[in-house]
Amino acid sequence: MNLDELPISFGFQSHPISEDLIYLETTMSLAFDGRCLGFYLEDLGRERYRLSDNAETLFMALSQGYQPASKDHKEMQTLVEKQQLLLSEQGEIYQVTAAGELSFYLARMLETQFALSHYCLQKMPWKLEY
Amino acid sequence: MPSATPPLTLDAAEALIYEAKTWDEAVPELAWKKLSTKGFPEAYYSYNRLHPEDEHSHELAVECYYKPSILQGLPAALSLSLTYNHQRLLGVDSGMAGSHLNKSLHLPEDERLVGHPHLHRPAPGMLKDFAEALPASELADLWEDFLLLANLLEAPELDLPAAGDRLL
Repeated sequence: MNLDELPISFGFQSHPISEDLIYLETTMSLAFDGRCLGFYLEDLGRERYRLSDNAETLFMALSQGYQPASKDHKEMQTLVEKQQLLLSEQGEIYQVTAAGELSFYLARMLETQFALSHYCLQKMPWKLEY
Repeated sequence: MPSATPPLTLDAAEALIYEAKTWDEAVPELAWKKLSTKGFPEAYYSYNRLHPEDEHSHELAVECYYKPSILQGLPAALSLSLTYNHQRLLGVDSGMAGSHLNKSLHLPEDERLVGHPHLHRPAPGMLKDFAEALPASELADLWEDFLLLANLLEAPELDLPAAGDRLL
C-alpha cells in the first residue's frame, strides 16, 4: 500500500440500514467503552441530510454505570453546541445539513461523541485503570 | 456522584461471575422504571440486587437497560449487565448498528471489530472492554445465555417494557 492509498484505508465503515439510512463508524472509540464512534446518516432528499447518534452515546454511558444528574444536561448541551450540533430532550445528538457542509458536521459529530464520553467517564462509579 | 469502586483484579472479577447466585425470590419479575431525567434517553432501567441481606459487603446486581429507537425502523437497544458496585463484570449488548472495538493487536483482525449482539466478559488486560460476537438471537435467548454465564439461578423470564401502562 502506498501513501496515496493510506487515507482510504483509514476511512469509515458503512452499514446500510434502509434505502435512506446508513450507519457510519470509525475505529476510534468512546472514552468509557470500546464502542466505536459512529452515527446514523439519513438522506432527507433534496441534498439534505440528518446526522444522529439515536441517543446511543448516552445510552451506552448509562449502561456502563453513569448516573445522570439534572444539571448534567445543561453542561452536555454546552459541549454539544460548541460543536455546532444539538442535543435533544431525549439525549439525541443531531444536526440537519446540506450536502456541502456534511463533512464539516461529520467531524463535529465525532468530536462531540469523544467529548461527551470523556465527560461521562469522569462521573463513572468506577476507575478506568485496573 | 458515587465514590469510585477500587479496581478489581481479573481473578476477583472472574470469581464474582462464577460464584453461584440466586435471584431474590421476593422480586418475581424484572421491575422496569422509566428514566425521567430531563435531557437523557427515554430508556427503561431495571436494577436487581443479588445477595440482598447477606454478609457480602459488595453490591452485586443485575442491571438492565432498554431503549426504543428514536429513528424509525431500528430495533430497540438492550443492555444486560452483572455489576459489582455498578461496574460491569459481564454483559450482553444487543440492537445497535455500531461495532465494539477490541483494542488488542494480539487478536486476529476479524475479532477486533465486533457487531451486535455481543458478550462482554473479563479477559487479560481488558477487564470490561473485551467483546466477543454472539449469534443473532431472540432477546429471550440472549437473557438465558446471560443468566447461564452469570451463574444465576431462578431468575424470571425477560419481560420487556413494551406496554407503557405496565411501567412503574
